[in-house]
Amino acid sequence: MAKILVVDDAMFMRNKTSKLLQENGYEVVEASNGEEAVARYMRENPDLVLMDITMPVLDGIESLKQLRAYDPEAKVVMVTALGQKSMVLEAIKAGARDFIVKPFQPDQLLEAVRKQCEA
Amino acid sequence: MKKDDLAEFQEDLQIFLIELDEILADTERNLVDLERSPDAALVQEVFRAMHTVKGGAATLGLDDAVEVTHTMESIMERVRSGEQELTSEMVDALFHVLDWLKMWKVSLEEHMDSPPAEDLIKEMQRFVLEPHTESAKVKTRPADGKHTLGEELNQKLDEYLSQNMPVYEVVVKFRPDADLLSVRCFQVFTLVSEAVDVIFSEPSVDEMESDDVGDVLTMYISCEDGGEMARQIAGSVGDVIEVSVTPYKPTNAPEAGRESPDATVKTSSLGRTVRVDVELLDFLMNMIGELVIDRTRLTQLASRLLVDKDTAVIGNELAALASHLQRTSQELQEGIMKARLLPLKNIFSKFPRMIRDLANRCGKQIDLEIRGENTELDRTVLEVIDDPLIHILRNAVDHGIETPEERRHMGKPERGKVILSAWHEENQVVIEITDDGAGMDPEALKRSAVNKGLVSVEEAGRLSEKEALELIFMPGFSTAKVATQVSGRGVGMDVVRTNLERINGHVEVRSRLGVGTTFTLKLPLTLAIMRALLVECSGCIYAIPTSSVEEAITVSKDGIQTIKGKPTLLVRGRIFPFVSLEGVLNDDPWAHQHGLQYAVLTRSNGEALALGVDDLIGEEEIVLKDMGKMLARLKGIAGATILPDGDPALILDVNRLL
Ligand SMILES: [Mg+2]
Repeated sequence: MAKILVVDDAMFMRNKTSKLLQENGYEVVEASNGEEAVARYMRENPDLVLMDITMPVLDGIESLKQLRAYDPEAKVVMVTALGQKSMVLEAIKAGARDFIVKPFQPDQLLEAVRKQCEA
Repeated sequence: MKKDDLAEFQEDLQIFLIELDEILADTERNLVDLERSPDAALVQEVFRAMHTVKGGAATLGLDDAVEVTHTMESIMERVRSGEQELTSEMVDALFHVLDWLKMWKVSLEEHMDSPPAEDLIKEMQRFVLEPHTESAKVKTRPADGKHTLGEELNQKLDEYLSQNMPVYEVVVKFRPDADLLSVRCFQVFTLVSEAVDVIFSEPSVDEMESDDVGDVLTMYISCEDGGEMARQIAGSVGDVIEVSVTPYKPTNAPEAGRESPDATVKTSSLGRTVRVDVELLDFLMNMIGELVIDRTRLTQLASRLLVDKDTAVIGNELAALASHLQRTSQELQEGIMKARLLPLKNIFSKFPRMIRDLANRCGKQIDLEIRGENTELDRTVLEVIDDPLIHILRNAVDHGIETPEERRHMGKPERGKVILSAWHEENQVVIEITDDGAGMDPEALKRSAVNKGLVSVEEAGRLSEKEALELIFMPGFSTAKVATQVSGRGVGMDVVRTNLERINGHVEVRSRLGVGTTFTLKLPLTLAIMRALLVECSGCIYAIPTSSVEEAITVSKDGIQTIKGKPTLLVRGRIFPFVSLEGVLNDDPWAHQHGLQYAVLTRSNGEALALGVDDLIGEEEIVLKDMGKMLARLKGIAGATILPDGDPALILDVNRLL
């Protein structure tokens, strides 16, 4: 099964997302900020990254840019909140494949993940 | 809600609340710092904190908190972008949000109704210049996907056709209620552009960026595959409900693009941590206590076997076994103790806010510096020291630090400083509270004590500076002339000392007039196991915690003198009231004191005391056993322990002896 890197500074969100993915057969690795995400990506080589935007140390946009510079094929789905429109736009420009809006329904997340893993 | 859903909600909520605790503590501290000096990084941190709480609350469907945190997030957003300056009025309002969130958290934990939020939201909205609404707006645009092409565009498309490049019209329909529709449009546009040549789009990229979009995106593309790739790409984007591709001709009927969801495979997963009830930890600790006792008895048995040549071999093996058991039980003990440890941050985190509020109320300017907040202590010790720390800090604000004017007069910086620091020292944790305030005047303390009738003029005259400072720990002593709003809670330093001594801790004070005051708290890492002096009196064995023992001495018959009709013991010029341990426990302190061989010098309730006993057995590591409420009510008894030979012994609470 596909390996997914879940990046979020909120333990609660990481936990909830990881649990949902694991219950649906995905292998999950986690990172709690953008910098950690880059390091974990290099080590774990995941199939997909779910990337939060507002994070300490290195935010989701910068992390995405670094990931795409390291691996131009990196598949990243942004996990965003309402009110972050301009940042999501920037993320799409920087190569994010998709985005989902918090709070999301489990099906919405699984659908977005499934699409990326199939593609 | 189904039962599983409810259970899952509760589990999610638990995790959310744990995180909320941390976030609230950090944010409170950040706000206090921010109020002092503006800092972009702190603004970002506070913004992020509210953003995180909002996200979590939204995920759990807790709408009232979403609304409250949203107002705070908006304000921080404006501060961050420079639209608004952070005034102290705003900081107050932000603190109110934190207060509300704390109450809200409790209401969640206790399954009660949420606190009302209307007033708070109103208060916050005063600062938000224009109401901030973020719900996705759907602009009115042609929803049928038909587009009237301008002259210019027609020409451009015709040019493509004339060069034998096929052109297709791709109409993408989104769910009208989708979030961030403009970004969805942009996403489709971007992904399709990567694969094929997009000649024109409606809305344009500019319109997407300025949020001027509807629920339909129309693109004219040129490609060689009949538009199949574009259809697939657009169809794979979230919130897209329909994609139609038609060869370029003025009008065409749309066609649906569909997907079928796959069944997902369910597997179970387990987390990496478990929650353990404190009671279970206490039980395990108690069991380890038993092991410690068994180990000591084994060692004693071994030493008896070793004496005899015939049994020495078994004795040796037994000794080896005992020493192995010792290592094992020690490691077990350390493991459990670690599980009970919590960082001081848990109680320290609320102090910056507290000091800020108190200082504002007194018209003082005070910086609180916290060091060593990650130092860990047993959770019970943590609970016990909370009130004493609050009391000492309140005193520092109220009586320690001077007003800005007074400080200016003294040539001190107007801002006072309180430093709260903690560190490990051998088997103890030391906590120090230092202020650079007025300090205490030993002479004033003496006068005050005499006026209150706590000491005589003569006694006061004999006190050294250090001893004069000790007066503040006497019951009934308080330097404040008027009970102020801040520290007049009827709790004195005597209660602080008593509370700490009850957990085998200790408090000391140093002070220099005009320079400042330092309180030093020494605390045991854990409560369950303590060192005690075992004594015997009238055939019973008692354990006296070594922390309350000053000295144990031999008593000579002529060492006991009667002063004012009461027996006293003179030790190197110091006078100790002399009572028999058995007598004091039987409420007849002056009885049974003849023929006592030893005395334990100690303090009870702030007073020096010599406890007469028949025999000193020695110092031992004892395990405090929980003996229930019956025993706890006995005067002067802290609990019980089991001795190496299996006999029970009472542990004295020296402070409550008299
Ligand atoms: Mg975040």
